[in-house]
Amino acid sequence: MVNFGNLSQVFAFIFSLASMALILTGLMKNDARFLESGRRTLYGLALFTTLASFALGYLFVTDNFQVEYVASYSDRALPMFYKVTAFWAGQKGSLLFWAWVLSIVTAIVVRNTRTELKSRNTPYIYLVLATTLSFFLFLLTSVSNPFDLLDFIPRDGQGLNPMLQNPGMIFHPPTLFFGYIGFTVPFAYAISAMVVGRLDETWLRKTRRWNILSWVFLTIGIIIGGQWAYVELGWGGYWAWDPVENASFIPWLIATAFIHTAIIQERRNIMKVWNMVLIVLTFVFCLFGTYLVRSGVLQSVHDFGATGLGGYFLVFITVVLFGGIYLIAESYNDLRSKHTLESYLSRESTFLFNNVLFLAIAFSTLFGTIFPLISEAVTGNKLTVSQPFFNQVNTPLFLILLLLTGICPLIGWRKASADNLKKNFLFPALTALAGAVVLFIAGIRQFYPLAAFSLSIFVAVTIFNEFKGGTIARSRMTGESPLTAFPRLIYRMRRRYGGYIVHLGLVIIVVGITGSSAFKLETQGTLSKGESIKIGAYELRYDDFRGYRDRNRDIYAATLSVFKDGKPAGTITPERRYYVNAEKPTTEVSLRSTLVEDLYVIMPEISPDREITLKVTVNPLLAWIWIGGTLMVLGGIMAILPNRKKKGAL
Amino acid sequence: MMRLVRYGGLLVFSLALLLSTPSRGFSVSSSEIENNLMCDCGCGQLLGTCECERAEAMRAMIRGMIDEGKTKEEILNSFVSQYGESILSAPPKKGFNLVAYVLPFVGLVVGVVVAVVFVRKWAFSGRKEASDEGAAGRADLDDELQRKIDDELKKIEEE
Repeated sequence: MVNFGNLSQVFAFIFSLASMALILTGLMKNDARFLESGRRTLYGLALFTTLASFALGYLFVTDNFQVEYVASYSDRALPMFYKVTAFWAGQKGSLLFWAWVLSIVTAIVVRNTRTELKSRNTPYIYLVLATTLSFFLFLLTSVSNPFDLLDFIPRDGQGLNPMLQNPGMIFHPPTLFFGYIGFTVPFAYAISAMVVGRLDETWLRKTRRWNILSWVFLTIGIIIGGQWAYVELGWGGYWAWDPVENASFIPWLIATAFIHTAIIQERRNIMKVWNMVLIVLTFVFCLFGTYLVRSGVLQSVHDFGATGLGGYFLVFITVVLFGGIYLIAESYNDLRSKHTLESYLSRESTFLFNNVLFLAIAFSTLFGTIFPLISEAVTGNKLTVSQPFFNQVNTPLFLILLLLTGICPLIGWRKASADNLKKNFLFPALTALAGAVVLFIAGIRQFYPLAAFSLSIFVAVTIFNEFKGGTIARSRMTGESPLTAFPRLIYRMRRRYGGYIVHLGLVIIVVGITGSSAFKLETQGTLSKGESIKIGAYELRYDDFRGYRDRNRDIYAATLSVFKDGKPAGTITPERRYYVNAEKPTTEVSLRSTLVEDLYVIMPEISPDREITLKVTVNPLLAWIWIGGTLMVLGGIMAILPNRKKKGAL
Repeated sequence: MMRLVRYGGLLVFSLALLLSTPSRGFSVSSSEIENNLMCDCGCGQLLGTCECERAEAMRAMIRGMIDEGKTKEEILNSFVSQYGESILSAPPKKGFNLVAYVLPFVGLVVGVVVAVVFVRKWAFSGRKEASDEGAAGRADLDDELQRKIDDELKKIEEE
């Protein structure tokens, strides 16, 4: 099976090179037969990466520890479920996963464009996809081969890092990879549009679903990553501004900016240069994210398997970046559209400012992430840039962005009149103001929480008004009752209302973040059996302790009765786990989650006489972060649901 | 207009700097200090987050210094003198480090100025185009008619 996997990988690489050669020959000779062969070769490539991936999966499942990668990330005691997910636990498997998914995506694009081979763009789209695949397959076959063998057969593997033994491992890495990989398609379309000079909005229309779908996957990956960190790392938080987290957030920010301005280009045929810049940057930062995950250049909690591929990635990223810049510069005169705005105050101009904000946050996140390297190069001084820095710098930027999220939909396309502004702004602004006063009286005096909640009210009211206005208009027009008109309106105009649902999700996330960070309660204490610890309205009584063996770990669990305002509110059981092959024990969070607050308990220490040390946190409104995230994802999916009558572009 | 941009930029910049300055509390809590320090074990986590033995030893040092009545600054300085500046979770706001704090906001202001310049240019082109079209013999539109056209256009776009 090792040889089979190796050969499949080699064949996939050969097919990627062959496809590139055939397409280039077809383009040079203007011969459709070569192009067709190059196109079909991409199917073969997908077949061989699939075979290689199944081979690696099989080696994990059958505990073939002579394979160095399997021995490094699995062991006999690892549950089958995690043996499968260990596929992408390290650098080598992640690269194969990248190549596999990208080859499938490429095959889908090839199939959907099978009638468009005569279009001048299409061969270049294939060429960009095949080149990207060649890069990954080159790494796999020559630098970072997951099928490399050890000189001996170990009796057992080294096991999977306990932190990766979490259901989040199924979804978090793959969804992030799907997001990163998905943006290869719009990037390929953009490059081909610039090469052949077809610079109208066609490439944007054809890739709209890929853009949003990739954005949805990135969003899912980020949210699940946050949820995983929350339940696994045991510090009561969900976002640590870790370099690898930032590496996924930066392309998300740029892609979000791109999705907004793509709408403007589709409607008004302006901002063509800007959209090209944004899609090139999005793809570059998707590669950068993959590079940073395991390059080892920055200290990260995600350092599960650095193998020093940094140099290759940096060369590829540089080629993509400067190649993109060169093409944009070459096409600049053709890309320059006759930019006209009818007014300063229009949705188009506010979208431009929202873009500035997205990019400012992306820039500050990037700059903070790499600042330790810059500082060391300039001053020789080693520094750390972590949460307090990012919270200080990015929070004001996020608040301005939130304000714009509310303002943009209130301003009409083309030109907003004074009447229009007054009509649209007055009620949301007054409601937000009233909300701020109520919150102030209720005791919320810190600036950031007060501003965040007030702005959330403002944005929520603007969205509510949009839904209300649309429903009333449809109801009047069709005679439907509002209850019938509302879902039909949303379904009929799902692109627009999907966007509003995404905004609503964002508002809910802001409320969750604000509540859980500004009003968090923490305490710590050591308890003997029968003793209690108090935090806010909660009292936790230590009742019982037991130790037992479960699959690949020894578990020590304490049972505590929870009382809220003196009334019984269930039990919680924080655990301490000793995994086979793990150097250090891990803590397992016990969580009592409600819509109002999370009671979050970990047990960092157990004394020989079974005294337990507990760290207890109350995180208000935290569950709303996951609810808001889910809404964002649903809104994104809604925006790309196909029409029943018309077929989608891709 | 440019004056507006300048003053706006200045306002955003000053506001951001103002908001970026952390508030100073009077009492020192252990967790407050733990969030200003990194764990020394190489895990890349805040001290308050890490559960290793090194972290526990460092936390014990903090508790000891709090009991001795040391201020937050004194405790942080003590760690910096022992481990170097990389032990701090955020770079101190001095010297070259100020670049990290200021540059994002400078970037924002520059971005806003550039956006305003472009919007102004495009809006000017839009007005000029409209006036050229008017001069070319199109009938002048009164406000009422213009509003009706705008409303119709909006309806079409919404559909």
